[in-house]
This record gives sequence, structure tokens and C-alpha cells, in this order.
Amino acid sequence: MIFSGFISFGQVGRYAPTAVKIGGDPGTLGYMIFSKKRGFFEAEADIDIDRFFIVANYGLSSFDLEEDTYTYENNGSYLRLGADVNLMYKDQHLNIAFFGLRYASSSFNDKLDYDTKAIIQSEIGWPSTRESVSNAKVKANWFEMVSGLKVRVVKQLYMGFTVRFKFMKKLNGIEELRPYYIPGFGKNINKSAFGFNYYISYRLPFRKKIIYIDENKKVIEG
Amino acid sequence: MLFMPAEKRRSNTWFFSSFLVLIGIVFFSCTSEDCVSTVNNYLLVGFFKKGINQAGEHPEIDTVFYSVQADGNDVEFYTPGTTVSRLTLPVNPADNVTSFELTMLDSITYDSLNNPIYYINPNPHYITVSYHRSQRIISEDCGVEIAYSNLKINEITFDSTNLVENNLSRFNEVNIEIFF
Repeated sequence: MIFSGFISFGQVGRYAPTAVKIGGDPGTLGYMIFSKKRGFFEAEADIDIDRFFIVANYGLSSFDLEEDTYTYENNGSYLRLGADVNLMYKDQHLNIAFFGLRYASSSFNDKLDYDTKAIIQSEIGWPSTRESVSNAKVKANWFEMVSGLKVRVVKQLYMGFTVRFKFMKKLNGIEELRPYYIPGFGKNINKSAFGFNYYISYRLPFRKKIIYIDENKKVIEG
Repeated sequence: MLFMPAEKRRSNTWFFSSFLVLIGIVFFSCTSEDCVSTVNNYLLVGFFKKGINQAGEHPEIDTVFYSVQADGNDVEFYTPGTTVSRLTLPVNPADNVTSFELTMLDSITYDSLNNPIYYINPNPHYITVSYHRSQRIISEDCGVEIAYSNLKINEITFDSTNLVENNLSRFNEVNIEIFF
């Protein structure tokens, strides 16, 4: 009985994966249509293991600024890996309220073109020139504490959101230009940042999920 | 809603409570980006006596200049006859090296109409410095700033000098001390 939660011969254990959810952030479309400066695509997948989820996010990002005195371009990708704990693990509808931790990594390049005449806090007198600086390959990594909800709206379709607190950011590969934006992290202004994603995802079960409501009662969901 | 199962109602309550918390977090974390810059392109050169005073310090001394110019810049940074104990020299924001020519005055006299007659020292002094520039966007509205660091003296024609601060900042700290 002690080891009843684990896989044994002829029996699927409590901690065997039961489903995969695959989805994306529909906010992507809004940014692509309405935002001139930011575009991104983010996909999410998780593996359902009892009350835990192994989660991965992958995103592609572009961030552009075009002002009178400067332009900035940033292109890159990011990957988040981590795990969530489902606080509603007894919910028979398989709704999810979770918190978790992520390790995130980002790789990007950026470029700044600017007029020296427009540098703030500078005594000029110097002829105005158009200067260009760039970073060929910057690596960034950070951690995230996450929390959110995923509600099963119909059949295996889920909608939800994730709130992120991003911290312990580190950057490598910076040359003269300090990046203004980090794909997946946001603006590189403070050491930490908040983030938010909406998700629509579809659950693909490949095994019956056993929900342990109490020691004597089990409910099996598809 | 009345006919919704109890577990479903609890689930929805959870959802909306969390959403309210989320809005609060976003609201309080959205702070405006200030146009605060602590750097500029001023190289500060201070003139001091070689000897020390009773307080154990090198006292600043006033120096009279006829002209102060930078290579590649037509602007006269000081008008003829300016007396200062510190020179503020703007380095070139488009290059990692800037050369300055400092022409000093030996004396000034005045004609009968009270116009100054400058006796220029025939040996101008030169200061050439190199530095590392790093650019950043402060905010989208504020624009770009350049921080200057790792200042080095490539050439200086004064006899006794000392590089004391290798970052250029707005805090009015002398970068190069020159002793007479």
C-alpha cells in the first residue's frame, strides 16, 4: 500500500503522465494586427502528472521603436521550462489553479540608430551624426514565479491566464549597447518585472486520469 | 448560476478573485518611466597647486585661458580671458577619442578705449583622452543616453597630472587633476 502511488506491474501508477495540453497566447494576434512596435508568438505545452504539470513555453519576438531621433530593433526567441502545482487537484472538472516556477532563457540581437544631436544631458557643439550600435548575440536568463488559472470551457478546451514575476535576470554578450528589450522578459529597465499571458489550449488525454478526492474515493476522468 | 453545481461556483469565484488580484498587481506595477540620466559627456579638468595647504589639500588655482577647443569641433568652449579653476570639456559623442587644445594667456592689458590686449602663451597645451561609450534608451519618450567610462589619458602636455575619476558623470567630480 505504501508504494501504491507508483507504477507497478500491470498497473499504471498515480504519477504516470495522463495528458498533454498544447496551446498558445491569443494576444499574439492582437499585437500582430494592432501593434507596430511589438510582435510575438508564444506556444505552451504541459504534461499532466497527478497534481503537477511539467510546462514549456517557446516564443518568437520582435520589438521595434521608431522615433524622430532614434530607431531600435530587437529580434529573438525565448524558452521557459518549469513545473506547476495544481491547487485544485481534486476538481472533477479538471479546472486548474496553479502556482509554479520557471527557468527562462532568451537569445536575441538588437540594434540602435541614433542622432548624436539628440543625446540627452550632453553639451554638443559637435556636428550631428547618425550613429549605429548593435549586439550580435545576447543571451539572457532569469527565473519566474508564476500563478494563474486554466478553466475547462468546453470538452477538452481550456482558457486561462498566467501572471509572472520575473527576477534574477542576467545578461551576457552585451557590447556597447545596453538592450532596451529582452524577448520573454520585457523592457530591460529594472532587475525584475511582471508579465501576463492569456492562453487557449487543448488537452490531449492519452490515459484515464485518477483523481484522489480522499483515501477511499477515486474518480476517473477522461 | 443558481443551478450551477457547488464545485463549479467555487471554481468561478476563484477565477474572479484571482482576476481582481491580477488587476491590482498590474495597476500598482505600472510605473511611469522617468527621464533620469546621471551621465553626460563632460570631462572635468581641475587646476591645483602642487603644494598642500594646512588642511593637507592641494588648493585649486585660477587659470586664464585664451581659447579652449576640441579637434573636429568649431565651438570655442570658453571666451578669451576666461578665468577658471576647472574646465568642463565636452568629449565627442560620436568617437571614442577626443583631443583638446588649451591656449593659455600670459597676461591681459587694456588700451585707451578699454579694449583688452591678450598676450597669448605661444605653447598651447594638448589633452587627448579615450573612453568607452555605452548607449541605452532611457525610455521611449526620453530617448538615448551615452555613458562614458574607462577614461584614459592618451596624451597630455602638462607636466604634473593625475587621472582621478574614469567615469564622466553629472556629479561634478574632477576627472583629471593638473598641478602647477
